[in-house]
Amino acid sequence: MEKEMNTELVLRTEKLTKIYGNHKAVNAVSMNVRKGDIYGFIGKNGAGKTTFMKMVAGLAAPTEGSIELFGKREEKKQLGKNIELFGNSEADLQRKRIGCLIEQPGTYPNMTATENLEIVRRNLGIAEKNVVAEILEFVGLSEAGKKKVKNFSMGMKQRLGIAISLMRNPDFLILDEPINGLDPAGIKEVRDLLLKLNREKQITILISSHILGELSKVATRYGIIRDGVLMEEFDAEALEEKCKRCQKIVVDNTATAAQILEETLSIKNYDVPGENVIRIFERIEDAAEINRAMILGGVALKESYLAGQDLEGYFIDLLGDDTKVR
Amino acid sequence: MFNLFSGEFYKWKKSKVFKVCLAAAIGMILFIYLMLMLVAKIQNGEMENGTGGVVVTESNMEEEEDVFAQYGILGIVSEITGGGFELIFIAVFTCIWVVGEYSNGAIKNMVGKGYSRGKVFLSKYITTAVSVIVMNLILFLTMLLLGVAVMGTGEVNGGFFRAFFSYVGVQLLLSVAFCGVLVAVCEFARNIAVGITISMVLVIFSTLILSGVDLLFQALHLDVKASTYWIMNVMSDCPMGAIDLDFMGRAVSVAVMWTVLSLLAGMIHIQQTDIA
Repeated sequence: MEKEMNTELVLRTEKLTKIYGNHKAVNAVSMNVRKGDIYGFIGKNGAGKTTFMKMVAGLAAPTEGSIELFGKREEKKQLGKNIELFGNSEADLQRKRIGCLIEQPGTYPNMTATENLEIVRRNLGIAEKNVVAEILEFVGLSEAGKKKVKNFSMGMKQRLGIAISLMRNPDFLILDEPINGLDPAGIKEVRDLLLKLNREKQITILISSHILGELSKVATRYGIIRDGVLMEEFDAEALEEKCKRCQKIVVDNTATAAQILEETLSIKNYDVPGENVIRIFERIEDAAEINRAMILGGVALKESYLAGQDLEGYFIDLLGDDTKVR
Repeated sequence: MFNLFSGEFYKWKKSKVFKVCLAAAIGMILFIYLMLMLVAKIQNGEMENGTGGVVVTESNMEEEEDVFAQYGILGIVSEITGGGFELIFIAVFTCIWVVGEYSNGAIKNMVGKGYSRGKVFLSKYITTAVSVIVMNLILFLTMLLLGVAVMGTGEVNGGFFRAFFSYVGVQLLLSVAFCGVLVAVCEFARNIAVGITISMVLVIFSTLILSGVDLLFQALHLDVKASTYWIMNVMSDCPMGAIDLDFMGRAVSVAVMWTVLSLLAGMIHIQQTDIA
């Protein structure tokens, strides 16, 4: 929290809500994305990730709540109040600093990659004509610049989508499933590209993906959304801590068990995450000795096992494993 | 706004939609002239009735002059455009041009970059209108040149051009207004199939539907003629030749009314509706 207070926020939403009919697609989401973050946004299919991103990008209007982009706040839009037919809201003006790739890249399939980028260059009023060639080179598409987009592979289309989002040097990138449908080599290319953008150009990135292993290789902060509700936000270090390898014991009395751990076994690094459950993070190799000490100390030891989740396991536990995590 | 126009016209130049629709319309005009030439030859006895599947009715066979002599260049231009022939191609072009932005997601590249939706819609509206003007001018020129090629320059004089250009002017004004309605329809539909279907219903059946509405009003003893205010009715009522002030007033007011209505409806819709 302290870190959030002291760091410049690129995006801050407050109770952002989107209702379609009776369905709350996004339910009072308050998210903070700090400058320089690569924010991994995780949730199942239909959890509300894309809807949330669309609201931030200005493609969908929030039903309730507010969006603050680079410190400029935007309330719910109402025609005649804060919407003018030709005017821009404060947040709209800040959106000039955003690049987004939401769902499919917006391209003209019968035109070449160069022509597609030329249209965006003109629309954005970028005077430098060589920016198109530079961006194509940056995303590794310089060889395919004259090829029609309809003949592109999925990976090339995604890279072109990222190229479009990079026009006019954005400070904040919103990428919805950018590695969706890519082969392992394509995934690595996009991952390297994102890291390059973040490190070399200091671009803040909000990225959603269902390939959690990949996400964990780039994200510095995570947000988990379930049924439209943002359940947790935490840093990569905190996640590492959560996923640490440990011995889990299920006992009848955690107070006595804790006493045994500290006094008999001199173990201090443990926590009590739930009723009757203790996670022990040190001397994992001495599991048998710990079990014996519990029994000798009069504690009913119901379960004892070595645990330690990978990232994917942690998220599946958090989101529920009834369907594939997205 | 200038940037949006620059992008739109670059796209227009690179896109094949306009060229294909224009080529199809020119092809149809050629086809109509070829059919008329066949009719004329049958009427003149140079070919047998029924040649190429073209059957000239007995009453038309008894006419002293062939179809070209009866109508002249201006008459044939008026017959072709008065029926809303070119509007079919304009409708197809407009639907693909406007809805394409939504179906390929390219509109997100503008709205997501902070452009006001009103400006995005207006730029689309204006580029479509300009395209329609260019398409119409080329089609009128084609009809004129083909007419001269087939019928000669006998009727071409100062009065001819005055009549031709005043007719073209009114038709351009009205077709721009009609294109505005189509742009608004496409903005509401945001789907090519739905957009083309509604647009075709407008082009093909709107005058018929309005005749029904007029009859209904008449039956209800209401002194209102809805068809008077519909663009296509004004287009077909447009006389070739002396256009009086009354008609000009009606044409201008109908064009302005539909332009403003469609512009407002489209702008409000794009502001109020999420972009999928």
